Parts: sequence; structure tokens; C-alpha cells
Amino acid sequence: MIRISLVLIFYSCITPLLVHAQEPVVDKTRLEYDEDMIESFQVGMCVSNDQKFGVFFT
Amino acid sequence: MDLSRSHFTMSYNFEISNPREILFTKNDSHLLLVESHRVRLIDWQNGSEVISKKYENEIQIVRSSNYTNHFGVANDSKIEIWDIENLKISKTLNVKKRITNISFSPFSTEIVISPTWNVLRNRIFIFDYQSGKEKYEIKGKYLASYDNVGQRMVFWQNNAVPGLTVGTPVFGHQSFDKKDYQSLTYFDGKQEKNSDVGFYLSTLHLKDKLIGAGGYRGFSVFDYKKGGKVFTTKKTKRDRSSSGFSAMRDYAANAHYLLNDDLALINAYGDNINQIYSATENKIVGYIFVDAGGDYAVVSRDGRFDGTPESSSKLFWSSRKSSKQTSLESTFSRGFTPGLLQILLAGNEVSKELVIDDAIENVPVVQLTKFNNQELPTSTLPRLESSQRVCSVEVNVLENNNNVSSIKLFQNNKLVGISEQQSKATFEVNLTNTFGDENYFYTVAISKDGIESKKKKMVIKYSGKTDEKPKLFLVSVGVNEYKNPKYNLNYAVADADAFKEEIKKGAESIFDNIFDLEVRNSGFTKTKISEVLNNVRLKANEQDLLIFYYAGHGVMSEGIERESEFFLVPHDVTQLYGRDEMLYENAISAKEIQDISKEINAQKQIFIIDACQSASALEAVAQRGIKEERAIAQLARSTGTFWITASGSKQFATEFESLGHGVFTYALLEGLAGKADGGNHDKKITVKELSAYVESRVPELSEEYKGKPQFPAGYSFGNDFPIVVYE
Repeated sequence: MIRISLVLIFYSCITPLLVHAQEPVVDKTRLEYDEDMIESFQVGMCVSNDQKFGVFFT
Repeated sequence: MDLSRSHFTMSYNFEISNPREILFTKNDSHLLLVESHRVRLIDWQNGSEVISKKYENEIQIVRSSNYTNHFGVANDSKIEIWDIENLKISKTLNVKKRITNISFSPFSTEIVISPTWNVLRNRIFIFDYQSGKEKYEIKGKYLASYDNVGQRMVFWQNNAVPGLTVGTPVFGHQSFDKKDYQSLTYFDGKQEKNSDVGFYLSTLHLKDKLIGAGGYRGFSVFDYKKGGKVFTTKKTKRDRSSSGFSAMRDYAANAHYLLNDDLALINAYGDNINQIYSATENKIVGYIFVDAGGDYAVVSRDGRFDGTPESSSKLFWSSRKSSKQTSLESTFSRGFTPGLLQILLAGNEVSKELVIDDAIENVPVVQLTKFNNQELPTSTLPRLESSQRVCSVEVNVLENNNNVSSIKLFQNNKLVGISEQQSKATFEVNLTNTFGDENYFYTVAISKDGIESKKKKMVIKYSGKTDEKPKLFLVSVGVNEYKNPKYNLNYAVADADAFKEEIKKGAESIFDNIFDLEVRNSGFTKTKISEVLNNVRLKANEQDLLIFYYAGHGVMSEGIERESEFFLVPHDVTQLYGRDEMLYENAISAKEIQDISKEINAQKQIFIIDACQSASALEAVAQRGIKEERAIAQLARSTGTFWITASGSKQFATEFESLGHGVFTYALLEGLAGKADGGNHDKKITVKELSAYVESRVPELSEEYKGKPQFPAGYSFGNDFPIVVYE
């Protein structure tokens, strides 16, 4: 009986830790651009409800 | 840019100093352009400035309300609330503190104002912007914003969870509708005590997730239901943006918007790459890259690409974990995919993710080792000279040779040799002065999973006998009459005739001799076209030009036994679909065109395929069109030649009696007659000028005559050169 209670206490303590231990997905690969080859940097963008994409360049 | 079409639709130039942000106002009626000391409201339909106000002190932040027709400008410890309908300031909110962030509540007239962070006394203020009065303040919180669905407010606060070190920033949210600011629900504060990407400067609610975009071009995603962080980019290795927005300068302002109910587009200040995150897949599924010159690219996470040819050379893949990199061009063969953004937006395609660390492990490494049996220096760009026309080039694979599927050699960007050897290949080449004395060579090896090695280059100066004046080989194919009359077309022969005459008229002064090789109707068989092109192969030299014009049907095989391929359809093919074996036997495949192109010495080759004629006779299938475009683009790239195409599935309306031609060829004829002459108006039309003209003119013509713009495709992977001179 004591053993079962200890196991339950242990389980209830460790479960939240296990949940918290779940690691987020970490992105491994990135697309980049050659800064020397582009004409201007993008310094802003916005998307309208009908999927117009506005871009602000330097 | 219209995302549904992946084309830039409008471009405006303004004299701008220190640009900061761009925002759509409610109902997308206007654009707000924010500079460090000026705000402009632009009617984006016509580019006119509706409001332009200069501020003496630096603007701190500008935000637009999506609920009412207002926007707020934080400047000098106060917020001006502008009324867009009446074009005037409707209220001024006196905050009396320097402001870092403002956020309009989606479904009310509240605005939450976050003063600049203060180590001892953080607080946020809720104002009613209709009355201009402060409603209440909440202590201990900073950098607050409403989510986009009106359910929660998200913010930072310090030391909010018992047990954490004093001063540790914690990111949290709370129910907005309850207004119970004391009962906080954390995204598991323990996990978020140290953010992977810096402070979250703006947030976006997406399904059951909350995206927090931070500095350093990164973002993290939290799951409301599961709790905790489920995705992060971490900080990138690159330096954070050099400049940012006002008080947030140190972290670089981020923007993000919903593309649909599953995808968000996320960007950081100064970053030309916009990341597309999918809530369902919990990963980045693609990117939109843009540049001011009109270049754009849509790239999916598995390596597929759509965009301008120039954009692909500006992009590369890098590992977030290591310093490994590979060019985007190296994964190009994995899939040039016209309409890729629409595929991503539809979200119905499961794709294999490209993991660059794994892919790079298997990429071959090549080296140009010998020229005319002479060892080449290992410098980046060896330069040699030769007076000998016929020369040999040796290529060695230094690493991962067991993973090589082919080795290719290009001369002046045109494919001149392919070898299926895995370790070493020797090619015979003819030097020329077609593009000046210098002959530019490069080699690549392609891995079995379609990743290309880094290019190895050399320049050989040719000092031998000068080339003779070039000849033009003009192959024009037009098929109106098919053996199966249900495939008959109306304008193909007229188009081929008119094109041929326009070229001949303008090319006389450039070429020593013009070989008019005409193929019409029943004359177009596989045997006949092979005969014609073999004749070109025997006569053409490096300095010559081959123009191959085709007006007729073009189809993709169904690809049941072999991979699906693009075919030109000769007269005697009696069934276009469901009989691949008939295509293999009687039609001309993309692979066969590639082989012929490689065998013909002419380094200038243009293929113009007007297969849009098909639309009048065939049922169009969108997917087929994408495959056709992809096949043609890959062909252009793999051979280093020019392709200007209009494919059948685009449903080009061709029967414009008033034009007397198909719309595609009509635009070509206009261009050749002089309208394509851009830049310095030198009376010469180059292949790039012609391609650009057709790309811009066909949508105009099709819109004018059919009410809907349609887009041809030009793929150029060779050097530019003139093809006609006009009077």
C-alpha cells in the first residue's frame, strides 16, 4: 500500500516535468540571399485580405 | 505583388528617407508608408499621396486599426489618431511617456499602449481612442498587443512565476473578453523564461497557436491547447538587422500576416526573405523572396522553386546549425514549379523536406583538372589562352563520386557535353569568338538525388582564326492539319509563316546566310524533323544561330511507365492522351530536344514554342500546364538555351480574327517589328528584349480581347544577342 502511494506521488510529480520537457521543433535549414547581389533591402511588408502583397524597399 | 498570380502588379517610387514600415489600412483601401520622420497615406490603386505629414521628432510606431478606419502615430509621448475617411487627426492621446508599442483591439475602440521598458516600473495603458481618455492601466507588464481575433492580449512581464529569478522576462497572455488582468495564463512560463529569438515584438493568432516574432529574424510558436512552445527558428547565425523600428531598433521590427487560415507570412526588418509557416504542419513550408528590381522567388521547404531566373542566383540554402551552404540553383532540378505559391496556399501537397546538412553530405565536388592535357591551376577562375580551335577539357570528381549521376560541361552558358562517368570525364570543345575572345566554361556534377555540385569555372582566351560571319538556321514548324482531324488548328501555319518572314526581313544584315527550313502540316513527322535538325548539326558552327519556332500541339505524357515528359506533337500522332507509347514512337520529347540541342554546335539557340494553340482543341487541365512549364524551364536550363513559350493549358484564346494570329505569335511579330527595342533603342532586337516584350504584351492583349490576362513564360539561361535589325 505504501509502495503504491509512493509510486503515485512520484508519478504525479514527474508527469508535469515530462510535459515540460517536450522540446519544440527547431528549424534546421534556412533560405538566405547574397546581400551583395540584391538591389535593395526589404524593410516592410503587408498582406491585404485579397492577398495583395505590399513590399517596402530601401 | 498579387500573390494569387505571383506577379508584381504595381511599383511606385517615392523619395524616402529612413523607411520603416508599410501597412495596409482597413479594407485594404490605402497603404501607410512610414519613414523616421514622415507618414504618408497612399491610395495604392493609383499611387497618389492622400496624406503626407512630417514630424519634427522621430516617429516611434505607427499602427492601423483593422476594425475602424483609423491609424495611430506615436510621436513625442503622444498618439495621434487619424481618421482615414476625413483625412484628419480625430483625437490625440497624451500618454506622457515615450512609447514602444501600440495595438488596436480588433473588435472595440480600445488601444493598448506600451511605454518604453523600465526596469522598476513597467505598466501598460488602455485608452479609448474615440473619447481620447485613459480607461485603466495594468502594472508590471510591457510590450503588450492584442491578438488578431479579439480573444487575448499578449505581453511580457518580469518575475511573474514564483520560483523564477527576479527580473526574468516572461511571455504571457490572458483572456481579453474577461478583462481579468489578475488571472494570468502562461505559456508554461518555465519554458519561456529565456526566449530563443529575443523579445516577441508582435504576435499573431493562428488556429490554436500563437506566433511570436522576435528580433534576429526569428520566431517561435506556442500552442494554446497543448501549452508550451512547439516551434522555433532560434536566432539566426547572421547578425540581426542593422536598423529597426524606433524604440525596437535593437531587435528589428517584425511583421507577419495571415495568408489564409493555416499559413502565416513572417518577416523581419531588413530581410528580403518572408517565411511561410503552416500551423497544421507546424513547420516553415516555404519562402517568398523579393527584390526591388522585380525579381521574386517562391521556394518551398523541399527545394521546389518558382520565380524569375535571376532570383535563383541570389539565393542559397544554409544550415542553422553549421556553416554549410549550397546554392538554390543546386536544388533547381528538384522542381521548378510554376504556380508553386498556389500549391502551398492550397496546402494539399505533402512534400519531403530538404535538410541541408544531410543533402550537403552527398553533394559531389568537381574540379576542372586539365585543358589540352595541361594541368590547370586550382585558383577560383583559371585563365588560359589557346590558338587551337579544337581542345580537350578534363573534369574530375573529387568527393562523393559514387553518388554522381552525370557530369556536365557548359561553354558560354550553353551545354556542350554530358558524361555519365562518375569519377572523371573528358570533353572535346571548339573555341570560338562568338561572344568575344573569351570562352567561359563551367562544369557541374549532379548527384543521384538531383543536387548539383558547386560550379567550377575557367576562361580560355581564343587567339586562333576568327570565326566566319554567322549563319542563321531558321526552322519553322506549323501544323494546322493533323491526321486525326479533331486536333486540327486554325492559325498555326499562318503564325509560322508570318514569324519566318519577320525574322528573315530583320536578320539579313546580321547573318551571312539564312537557311530557311520550313516544315508544315503533314510534313511534320519525327523522321522529317530529325532529318532537318541533323542537317543543321552538320552545317552549324559555334558562331551560328539556331531559331526553332513551333506552332502546334504540345502535350505531357501521362508518365505511367516512364517519367512524364513534354512532347511536340507531329501530324501522325492520332491520340494525345492515354496512349503514351504512341508519343514515345512518333512525337518529339524534351529529352530528344535536349540531345539535339547539345549536338548542334551553334552556341546561340532560341526555341519558341507556341503550343497554346492546343487550348482551342483540347480540354485544359491546370496541373498539366504546370508540368509543361516545368519541363520547358528545366530544358532551357539544362541546355543553356532560350525558350519563349506559351503552353496549352493556360487556355490562351487564339482565335482572334481581328488579329489574324494567335495572341502569342502576334506579340512576337510586334516585338520583332521594333516594339521590343528597349533601353538605348539601337534598332536591334535581342532575344532578351523579345522575351521581355512578349511577357508583358501577351497579358495586355489577352485581357483586351478575352477580358482576362494570360501569361506566357520566357526562360533564358544563355547569353543575350541580337536576332533582328529593324528599319
